[in-house]
Amino acid sequence: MILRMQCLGCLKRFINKKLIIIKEYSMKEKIKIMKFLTVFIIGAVICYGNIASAKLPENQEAITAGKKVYTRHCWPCHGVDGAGDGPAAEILEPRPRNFVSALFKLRTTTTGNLPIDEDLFKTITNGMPGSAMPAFGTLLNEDERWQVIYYIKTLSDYFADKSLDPYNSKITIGSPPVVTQDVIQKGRTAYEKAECFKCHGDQGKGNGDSASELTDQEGYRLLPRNLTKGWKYRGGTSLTDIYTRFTTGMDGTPMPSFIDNLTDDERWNLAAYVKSLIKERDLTGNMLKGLKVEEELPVDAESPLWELAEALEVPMAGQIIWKPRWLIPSVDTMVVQCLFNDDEIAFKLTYDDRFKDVEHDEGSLLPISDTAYPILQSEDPEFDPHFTLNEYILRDSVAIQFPQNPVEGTEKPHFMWGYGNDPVYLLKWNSDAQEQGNNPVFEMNAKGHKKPPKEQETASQAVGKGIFTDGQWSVVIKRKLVTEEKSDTQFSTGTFIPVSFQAWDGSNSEIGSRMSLSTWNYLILEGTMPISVYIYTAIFVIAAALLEWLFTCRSKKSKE
Amino acid sequence: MKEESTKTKNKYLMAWYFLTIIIFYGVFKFGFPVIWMKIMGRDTLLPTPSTLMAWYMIMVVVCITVYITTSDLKIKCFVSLLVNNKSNSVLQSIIRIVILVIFPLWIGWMTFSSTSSSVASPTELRIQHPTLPQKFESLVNPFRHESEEKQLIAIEEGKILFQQNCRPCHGSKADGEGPWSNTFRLKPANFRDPGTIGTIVENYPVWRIQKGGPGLPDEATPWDSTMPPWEPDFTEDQIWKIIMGEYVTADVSPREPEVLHE
Repeated sequence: MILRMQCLGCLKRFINKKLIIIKEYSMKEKIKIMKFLTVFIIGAVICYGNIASAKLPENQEAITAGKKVYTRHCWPCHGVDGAGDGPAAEILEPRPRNFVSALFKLRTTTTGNLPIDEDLFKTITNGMPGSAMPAFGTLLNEDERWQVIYYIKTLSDYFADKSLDPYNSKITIGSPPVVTQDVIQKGRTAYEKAECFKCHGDQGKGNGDSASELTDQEGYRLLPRNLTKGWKYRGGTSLTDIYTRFTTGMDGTPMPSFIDNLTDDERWNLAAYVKSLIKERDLTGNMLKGLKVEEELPVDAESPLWELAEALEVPMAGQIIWKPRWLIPSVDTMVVQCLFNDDEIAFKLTYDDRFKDVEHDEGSLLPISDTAYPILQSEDPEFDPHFTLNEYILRDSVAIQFPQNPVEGTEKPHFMWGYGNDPVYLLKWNSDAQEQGNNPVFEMNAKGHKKPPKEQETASQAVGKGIFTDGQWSVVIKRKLVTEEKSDTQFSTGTFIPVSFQAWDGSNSEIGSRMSLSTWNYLILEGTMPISVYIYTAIFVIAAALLEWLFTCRSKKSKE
Repeated sequence: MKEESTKTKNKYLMAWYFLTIIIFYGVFKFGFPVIWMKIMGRDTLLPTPSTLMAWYMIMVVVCITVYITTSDLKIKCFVSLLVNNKSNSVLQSIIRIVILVIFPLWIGWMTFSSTSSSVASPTELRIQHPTLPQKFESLVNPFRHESEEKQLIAIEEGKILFQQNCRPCHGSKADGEGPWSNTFRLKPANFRDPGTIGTIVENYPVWRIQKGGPGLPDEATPWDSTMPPWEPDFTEDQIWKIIMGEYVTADVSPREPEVLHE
């Protein structure tokens, strides 16, 4: 701070002096001085810029230092030799990068080429959102990041090959266009021209016709991105990032380069369209406010009544508390709404799911591995949890969970199916039951994780219906506010009722405790406004008006 | 002459009074968040806290009220707008009616919003580091007596176990920013924060890892914690390895137990 003040002082004095001097100079000399000053300032700015992004020279010393960084942070996933086979690799999906085969997704070089150092630098700095790769920008300083890049390059023979120098195959990136509705519209045309929908689906939900058959270069399952989920874009969500992805392709994945199929303008338009598909999510709330209506509650998810109800976005994670744990849940966000009237309560759950799975046959369900986490990847071609699915067919389901008994204070049962002495009540919707024309909503109770939730003996009083449209389920579950059944949760207005959500995506081999779930949120049913509120308000308004009247009368009098 | 002019000028004194209050309110409510965002170099608006807002507004109201009550003339001018005078212009009459109507409505709105209950989630208090049960107090890390080399091997093994089992939530860097850190209402602990594993003795994590969230006492809200009980999956030795690997991954060291008598 003091230094800055001194600097400012100096500058001031300098300018004063200079100005005085300028006065005494002729026009020509003045121009000379100005020229000198301009060059000086521009030079200083360029120097400063260069210092800020100086790339560490690539030498043996840097490589040795890079190895240290690698052995400290990278090898548990990427493996000692960089073949993407570290001890943590088998439970990851997508798999960690194999540096030996050197196929990189995020590049600014044409398809099939190596990435330039700056591409790797960007990936290490920002990480790959939605995967296991964290952003190292906050942990490693710039020098360390360059060092580890130089080390990674020694792990593959390709980088040593001078004829493969990636700097020769760099693409040139122009400046992004101004995004207008017209540009987005043109982008949609390009989306159809390039047949993006074949994998990514008509509305970009990652549910195209060939979505279920895609694999990476090593044959492991790989699903196309749901383009509405910006938080999962591996290479960033700026227009330039998106443009770069389909200009260069994502090597090692089925995502090709469109440099030959689409013109530069078309690719920019397409980037604008893809970006327009992104839906931001707001995960800050934890309160589901029920809206009171007079009408009969709709079982139809498309009823216009739902547009009135406030929505809560609930984050979902894989179930990892008890075995069998689940690391790759399909549902990561659920949008929830609630309506109620004097008699009934209804919930609408909306979430993205690529495939509609409405059949259920547990058949010879594969025994669950005894490891802490299920193995997802294995060198054994016979083993893959997703491609051995033909042994059983699983349905899509969702459940809403409440504490069975009224809660005291903030004490609740555990969000994973409660405890033995503190049970939970679940309203579960099964797609297969709906498909067969039965009541799809089941009332269940659970007393801890050891036993799966048990269906109640009496017939379910709850009803519901799910609608599947273009990669999205909208499920409505409806029940009476108050029931006779002892093991049901009873709903009343004005109290906070803990509520959490669970989802199973059948084609993602989710069943039982292999599911996505949320922690506790609160449900509140706002009662009608007590009449006293209106009375008080009226009294105060009248009092204020009276006061005004008295005041004006008095001032008038005093004036007279 | 001069007095006459001030008199006419101040005919709208009351209007100016309310306008000033509204302008200041606008600046505090909508201007300050933007200004502070620019000054602090943040990406998001920095809203003025409501208590500070109240203080600002009290100051504003007191200041201009003091100004208005500095002379009898000013008070008269202030009141004059409310009095129905034949000499009043149309504008004055309009302002007069507006003030007379808005004031009771404003009072009514204030009453309504304070009496109709608003919804806010119940406050949940949570003790982050409840007392370590006696059983775990006396545990000793078996690797601390081993040779340097064996300790290093244990740390490396622990790092692997950490990456395999703890990473989804606590993150590759043990900074609590794993891929699922934002999916739970209660965020996973950031071990790089010196206020977490840096402030507890080595035995403490043994308890937390073995018993997990469900093993917490009520004051630490076990129903909100996502921490799995790892006892069925790992031997005590493995847990010690995880702890050693975790401290190294997070770049902090455990607190040394205090010794009462040397």
